[in-house]
Amino acid sequence: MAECIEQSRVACALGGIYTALAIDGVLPVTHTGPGCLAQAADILGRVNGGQAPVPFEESVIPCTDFCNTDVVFGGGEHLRTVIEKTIEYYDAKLIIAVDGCTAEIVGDDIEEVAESFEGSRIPVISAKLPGFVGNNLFGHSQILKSIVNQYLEPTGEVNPLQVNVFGIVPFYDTFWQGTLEKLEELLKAIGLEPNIIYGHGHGIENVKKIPSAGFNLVLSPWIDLDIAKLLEQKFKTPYLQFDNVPIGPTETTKFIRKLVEYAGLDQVRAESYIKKSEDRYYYYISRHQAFVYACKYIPKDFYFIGSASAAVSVTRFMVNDVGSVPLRIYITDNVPKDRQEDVRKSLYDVELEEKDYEVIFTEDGGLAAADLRKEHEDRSVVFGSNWDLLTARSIGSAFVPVCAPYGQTLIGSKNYFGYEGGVALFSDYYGEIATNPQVAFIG
Amino acid sequence: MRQIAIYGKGGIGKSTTTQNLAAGLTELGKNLMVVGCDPKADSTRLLLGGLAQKTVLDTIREEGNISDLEQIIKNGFGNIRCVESGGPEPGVGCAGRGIITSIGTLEAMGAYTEDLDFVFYDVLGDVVCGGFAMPIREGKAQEIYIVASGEMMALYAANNICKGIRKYALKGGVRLGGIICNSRNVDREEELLRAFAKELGSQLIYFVPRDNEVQRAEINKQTVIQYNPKHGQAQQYRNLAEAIEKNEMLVIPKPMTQERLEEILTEYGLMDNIKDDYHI
Repeated sequence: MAECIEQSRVACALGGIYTALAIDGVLPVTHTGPGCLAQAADILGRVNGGQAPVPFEESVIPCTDFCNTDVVFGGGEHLRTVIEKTIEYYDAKLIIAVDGCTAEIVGDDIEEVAESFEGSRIPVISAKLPGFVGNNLFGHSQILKSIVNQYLEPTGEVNPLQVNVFGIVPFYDTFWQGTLEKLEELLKAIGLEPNIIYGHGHGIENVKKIPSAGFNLVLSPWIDLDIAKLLEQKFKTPYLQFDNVPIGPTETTKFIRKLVEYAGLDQVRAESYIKKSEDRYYYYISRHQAFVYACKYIPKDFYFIGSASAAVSVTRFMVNDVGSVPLRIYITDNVPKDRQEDVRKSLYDVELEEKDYEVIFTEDGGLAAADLRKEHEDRSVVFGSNWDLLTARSIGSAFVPVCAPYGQTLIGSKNYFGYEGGVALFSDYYGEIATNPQVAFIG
Repeated sequence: MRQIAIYGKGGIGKSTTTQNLAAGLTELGKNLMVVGCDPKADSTRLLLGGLAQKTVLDTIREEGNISDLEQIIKNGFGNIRCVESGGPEPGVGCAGRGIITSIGTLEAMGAYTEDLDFVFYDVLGDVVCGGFAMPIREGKAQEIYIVASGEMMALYAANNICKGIRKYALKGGVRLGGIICNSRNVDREEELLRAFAKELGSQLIYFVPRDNEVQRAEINKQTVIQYNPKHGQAQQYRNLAEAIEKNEMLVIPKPMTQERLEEILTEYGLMDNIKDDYHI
């Protein structure tokens, strides 16, 4: 973890509860101070495209309001009482008791508290989310591990066509909901039976089906590989990793072909889908060509500041499909040291002869901003989070938000997934260039 | 008002020494308060004639807050005001935070009145976290005395405690007043303790000999001064009280390296003895 952070783009480990909240029927009970909940809600929810896991303020989530007496005497009994009341008053299918920094320092035994509810109306499991150990990605992993280790049971039979989808972090990957819907459509179109646990139309029943999958699909350079390995060990489910959520025709076609080969799917059906989708992509792009040429300016390079997952997706599309070149890529979500090489490899795995750009791992977004102000190409493009808007403006660059915190706007079902996502990202990208006076009309 | 904290290895006799010392000071006409900073809450047992005190933290736990100082302060032998910080049950919660809360409550309630000549903090043996350093932080205790003996582990602990004192001394006013030897009848104990204290830049302020009268008094829930005022051991504690009352040697200690500490131990024969002990 960095010594200090300016402009944090991650929440603390407690942000992991957003993974739980993205699963319909799962309710976290937080053994923390109420302020802890609020900070996670800001980065992952409100300032991240106005998203929220419930149609109310997050304070509706049960919380022990951990205070001084809990520190001194231990807060285990307090947590037990709050869970008892939660079972009485809330309509949930699974409760995850989570703690934060203070309870972890004091050493409250939340596992024992959760286990004491065995046989209750709502099953209770626990996850430890100390913020001093890691960020919301660590929290996300902790939540999934708890579900796998404490809740899942073997289903007995395996459906070779069922594929569980991992690698997308709900809320933190700002476009998660729209992406999962479109991904589900694609997987069905090529003959698979996707099992998605997060978001609209999915939930706890999908969680229960996880052990019966033919394989697990991990769409990320490193996120959820630990979960895929755990599921392999526990239920002998193999996994396939594709190192990003594909955007645009090059990457999406590669993705489909890899899936077809791995799962032994109907090649003719898949190729027909690819042909139809690519045709549609180029139809839409060609409609904009005249406008793009009329603007007479296409920046040749870009900067990226944000999550490793978004970095790989955006870089592949911008290089392979748009023909742009990255200048510097700042990865701000504390990728573990032993995973950084994989992320780096993914970021250099593009169709480019001279790959002389830098990949910098730093959680300190302020450092990235200062770095850019000091040295940059004029009239380029910055992909990042809402934090980077002013940096981009200050160096005369266009700005396209792609990461959390996305900004105080409404994300709706927006996403950049697949062929159509490529069209959407290209329109947002060039729309920004065309309307940004610092970039479009000078020179 | 002199605020004094007594530290030392667990089981070395801090509480016994503190209470007997307090009894000695009260005989000199001093007004005292003894604050026990140990979850076991046995720092005032000899002054109160048993575990007769409800702790600050138990009171807060049961009643939410403290409305009156009388709830937590009880007068004991020689009108010594006795307070027990208390703590959580073993294995849960954070005793260190308990001490911080407890001392904070005493301050907020105005327990430190101007008529007090001495306030003693009797702190749990191992200063395991910031909470147990509370009495020497933030301008509370200005003087520290470490209770030690000629046993190796007691000296290791004392040297370690000096590292903590040095840390706080550099930014605050806390100083080491000296080492009190609570004798375990180890060979050449007094010489060793003098050499050890000198190496720290401090002094052996008093050598309290071992005497079973202390145990007899403890069984009777009293200090030796109260139980058998004419006994020689009572006079030893009076002498200790006088030495501390008159002490002007307050220093920033110079904790030694492990190697140097072991050199001193070897020099005074202790290491040889330990080796001998392991002979089968």
